[in-house]
Amino acid sequence: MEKTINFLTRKQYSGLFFASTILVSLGVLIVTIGGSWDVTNHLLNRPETFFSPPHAILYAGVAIALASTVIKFFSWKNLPDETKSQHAKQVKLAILGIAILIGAGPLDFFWHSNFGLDGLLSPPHLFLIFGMMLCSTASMTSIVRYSNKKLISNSYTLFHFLIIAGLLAVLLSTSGLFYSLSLPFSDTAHFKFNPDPYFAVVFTTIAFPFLFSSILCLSSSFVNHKFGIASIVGTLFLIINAVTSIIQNSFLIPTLGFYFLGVIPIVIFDVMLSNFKIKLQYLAGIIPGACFYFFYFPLITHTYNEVFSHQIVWPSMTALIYFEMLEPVFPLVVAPAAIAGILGTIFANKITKKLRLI
Amino acid sequence: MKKLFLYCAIAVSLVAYFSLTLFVLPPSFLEKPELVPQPTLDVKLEKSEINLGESFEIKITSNNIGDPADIQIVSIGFPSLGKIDDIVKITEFDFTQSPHYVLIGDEVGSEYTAGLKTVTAKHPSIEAFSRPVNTGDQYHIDLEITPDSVGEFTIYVKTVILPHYTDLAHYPQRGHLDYQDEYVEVYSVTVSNP
Repeated sequence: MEKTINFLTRKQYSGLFFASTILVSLGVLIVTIGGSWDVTNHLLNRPETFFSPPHAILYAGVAIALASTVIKFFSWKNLPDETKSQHAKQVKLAILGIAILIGAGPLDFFWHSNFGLDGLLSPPHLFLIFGMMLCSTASMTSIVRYSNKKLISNSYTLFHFLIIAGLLAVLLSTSGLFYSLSLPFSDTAHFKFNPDPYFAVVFTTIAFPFLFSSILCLSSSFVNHKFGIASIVGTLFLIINAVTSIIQNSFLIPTLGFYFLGVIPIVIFDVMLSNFKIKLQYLAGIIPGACFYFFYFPLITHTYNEVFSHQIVWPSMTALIYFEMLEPVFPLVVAPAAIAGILGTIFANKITKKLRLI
Repeated sequence: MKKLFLYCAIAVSLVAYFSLTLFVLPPSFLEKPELVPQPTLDVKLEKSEINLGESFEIKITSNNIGDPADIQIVSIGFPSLGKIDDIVKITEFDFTQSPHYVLIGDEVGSEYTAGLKTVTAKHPSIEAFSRPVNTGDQYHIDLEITPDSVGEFTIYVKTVILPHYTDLAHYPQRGHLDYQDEYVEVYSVTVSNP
């Protein structure tokens, strides 16, 4: 019989460590969903109080991530020495991330109380997003390292699907950071934090396709280019964005069919990654890169409107302005976005190699 | 052969995707929403004459009898006043946003342009607003007013729905124009010495 340490066996601690790592990612994922809903809620309803349903979801996610990080830390302490050292950096990063996340809560409340309605880019929100990114990245790395051998096996296992939570949390939290740095939602009565419109357009055109392409490519390369996981990650991203940013605005519901066509390039990219050799895989990065303007509908309307349209983006007018800008904007952004997509796949393959999965 | 089929399938799917997203579907979204929101107001003034030192109530109910819209603003202006101070008190209020007090000299929107054209406020007012406003949504604001001088105490009341697509998006649609070049209903109470 295996020896127990503090009530559990090493194997049980190992399982607990993995489960809590997944839960940290899920917690962050819930935070990002609450955050995305909160942005839409501010656009539609202008909530004037800290106590709103999106904030409740957001901080429920923080609570899950916090509890999971505590469990993760204690289970990690009881792991075998070799495994323990393998995950040491990730555990420390997750603890740092959760500390920043926790600190962001009271800071956000203080900010709301003193400065009223805050913008998207504010110190507490930056803390929150940075903490989310640290937690989600640390957890994703832990998940990949922990389930490395199982991920590269030929058949699908539970681990293949658990990696999805880790990758989605990174994708959504990093998207949150990129939105904060590009959307013109940060000027308030007290502070003018809106980014320069031209910087915002250039940043959006490069950063979002790079990110989306990287994460989809990681979804494929982490599982030894097995078809399916990248498609699921991409499709879940579309679903989450649709639920938090499109369905909330009743005027945008007719655009759902258009939006979900985005599944097509995602699946094509996945097919290419699972069938093509490495150089063609890099080239495949063109696809998610070139389609980012569709994936990040409707929020990027506000960014491009600042330079190309200069209208008031009322919720009822968002679709009209987005489609009006399609003709001038898409030809301008498609090439740099496609290049950013290629760079994203190269970056993702380098990361995968670094994690010794190729 | 299998590879060739794969390449063809990818090419066809991509052509279909970009055709749909760039050429086929956008035209249907490029028409302005055919929404005709229509705000109305029901104003109840408690008294038409009072003595100095007494108060009167004005109860305002806004409604949207048209299509859903993004925002409805009810503006209550006080051309007889220099400052609102304690003269006007909000006694009841159920709009979704906190009321906004406009002071003389503030920059405000004009001609129903949602701030694209602006003018300087010539008298104080209270703006109550809700967002979004669906068909049939009703909101209320009740004020208790205690004038501080004798004479006519005048109140301007209007509502506008944004975005402003048609003339039906404001109420009233004719009558007196205020300094914002927007129509208002005029109510007045005679204040006499006791």
